[in-house]
Amino acid sequence: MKRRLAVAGTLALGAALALPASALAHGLVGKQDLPIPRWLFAWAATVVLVVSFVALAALWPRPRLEHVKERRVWTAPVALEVLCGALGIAAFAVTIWAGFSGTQTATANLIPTVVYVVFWVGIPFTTLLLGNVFGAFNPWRALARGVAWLASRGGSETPAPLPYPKWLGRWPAALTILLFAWVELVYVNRDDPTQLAIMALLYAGIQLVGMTLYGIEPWTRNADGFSVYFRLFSMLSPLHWRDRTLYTRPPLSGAPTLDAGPGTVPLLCVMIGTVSFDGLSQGSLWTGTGGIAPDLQQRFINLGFSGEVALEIAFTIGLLFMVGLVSGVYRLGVLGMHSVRAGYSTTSLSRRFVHSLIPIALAYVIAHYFSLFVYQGQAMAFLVSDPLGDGSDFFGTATATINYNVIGANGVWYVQVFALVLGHACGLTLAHDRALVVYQRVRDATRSQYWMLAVMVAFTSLGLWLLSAAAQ
Amino acid sequence: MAERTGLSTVQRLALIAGAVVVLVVGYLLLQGGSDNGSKNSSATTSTATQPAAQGTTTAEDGTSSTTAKPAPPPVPTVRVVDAKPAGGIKKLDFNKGDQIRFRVVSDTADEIHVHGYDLMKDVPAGGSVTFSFKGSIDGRFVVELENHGQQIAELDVAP
Repeated sequence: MKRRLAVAGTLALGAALALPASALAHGLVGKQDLPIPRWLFAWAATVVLVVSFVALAALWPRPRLEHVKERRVWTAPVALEVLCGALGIAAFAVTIWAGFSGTQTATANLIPTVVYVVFWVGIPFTTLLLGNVFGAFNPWRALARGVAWLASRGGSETPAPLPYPKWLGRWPAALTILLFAWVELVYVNRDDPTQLAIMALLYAGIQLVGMTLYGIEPWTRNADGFSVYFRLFSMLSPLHWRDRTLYTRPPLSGAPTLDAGPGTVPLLCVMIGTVSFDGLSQGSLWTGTGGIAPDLQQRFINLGFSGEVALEIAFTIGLLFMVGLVSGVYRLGVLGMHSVRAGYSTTSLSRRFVHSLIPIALAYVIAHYFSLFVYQGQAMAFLVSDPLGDGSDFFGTATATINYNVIGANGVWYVQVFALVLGHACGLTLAHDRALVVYQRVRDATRSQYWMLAVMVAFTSLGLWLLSAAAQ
Repeated sequence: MAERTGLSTVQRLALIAGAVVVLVVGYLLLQGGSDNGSKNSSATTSTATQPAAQGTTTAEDGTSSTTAKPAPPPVPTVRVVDAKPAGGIKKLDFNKGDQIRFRVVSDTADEIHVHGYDLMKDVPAGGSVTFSFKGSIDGRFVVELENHGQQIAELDVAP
């Protein structure tokens, strides 16, 4: 999302076209990140290589993360669960209301910041620390559960839900995240409050229908894209909520419990690929004079599309290309592992190792959105007091402003590099741990992991490159 | 446990030696990188003296100072033709703490918006405005022709 305006502006220039101005009039981002300096890039790349080396050489010889014991800590009362659900529904309602009734200036309306900053970035961060808290606040799930509870009280016999189709797996979630990324990174009206409200309502509606047909839990675990997305990140957390009970576990040990059915590998590739495209689309390689996007756009204009549509097509191609690239790299790693010892199909290997991509995906999210969260997140202070942008001041904070100096460019760089390196190390650890289970002979396990090592180094280098050279 | 990893002691030592080698190479890379990678802005970062009103409209917010004017350093200029930046989006490089100054000459009437710092000034058709403010926030900022939704410059403030 960062630099979307800048991107659009550059493209319009590159194609020497007068695009409709209003559509590009505002982005949420006031301050963007400076590219990571070369020396830091070199250090980070070096540390990645060393971490990988030592990890393979000296890390644990026996699986340690596969079957850990969780400790029960606390069970929340039912009332708290109801309260959280009600809060979720209320927050959703206010956000939608702001979208429809508020000013259509993106930065002064509550909904763009809620969707792109609080929901999309804030929840993954919170989840990492506190476990899957979104489950409790999820408005559509809370609504469905409320209705189900009322129906059971009313004594009406609710028909048993259909069995959730196994072949469908997490494909709906992968599609959801891809579509969301498309809206965020490609669609010209991405910041339009009314359109965001319509899309949010539409999404909630689809979830309600899905939950009605297939049952609340099976649907939420597989097809509710955002629930699935947040739950994946929560697997890295040391806190684990099961029903209303809180357990603690070693960090990362949740990831091996991932049931990787159909659609799970594509989902993770979409997660990593779309954020990569966000990085790529900020750089001059993509948008600069003579960059790829203006060139592509011109080609589609020559085919008779309007400048705006041609721009969207160019960006769509870029988005899909990055998802394809990430899928390809992972696939190569899997094929490599397959060559070490026959006995497992590539599909099975691909699914058994895909949980190692979760920390990589989270690292990408942190590296790309940390500053957005820190800066634009502050906008919530005045947006909650004046959600419609009409001058009201509910909590006396309507005049608050964003302090862009809470963390400087140096701080952001270190967070980005630290996240990528740590994510890389965690991914490697998970893959190594799984290899020890999959391959009976430790020798095979180690050999297979040279391939995963290559995959991880490729992803981390890609991430670093996107934050440095590509962003010049 | 050593055997279960499938690595002998010699192999382990070799790996750790390899790690050291990589670290050393990385250190050398670092040396090479920091020579040319750290500071790149100089032309635009000279003294903070302030020439008086340069364009046809004067600065109206409190950012312009009233010091006497010695030889004014060159002020980078962004030219706007047909609501677009002539020659592509202009790069403006400064360091944090510098007095940031640049001029926008435009044939199109609009409001110029410096994001992040949130400074806005109107420019009449065929006129110009000069921005001058303390570079108190590092980062990369869009300078935009507000009502056209067109970026005209990219302001980099290095830490």
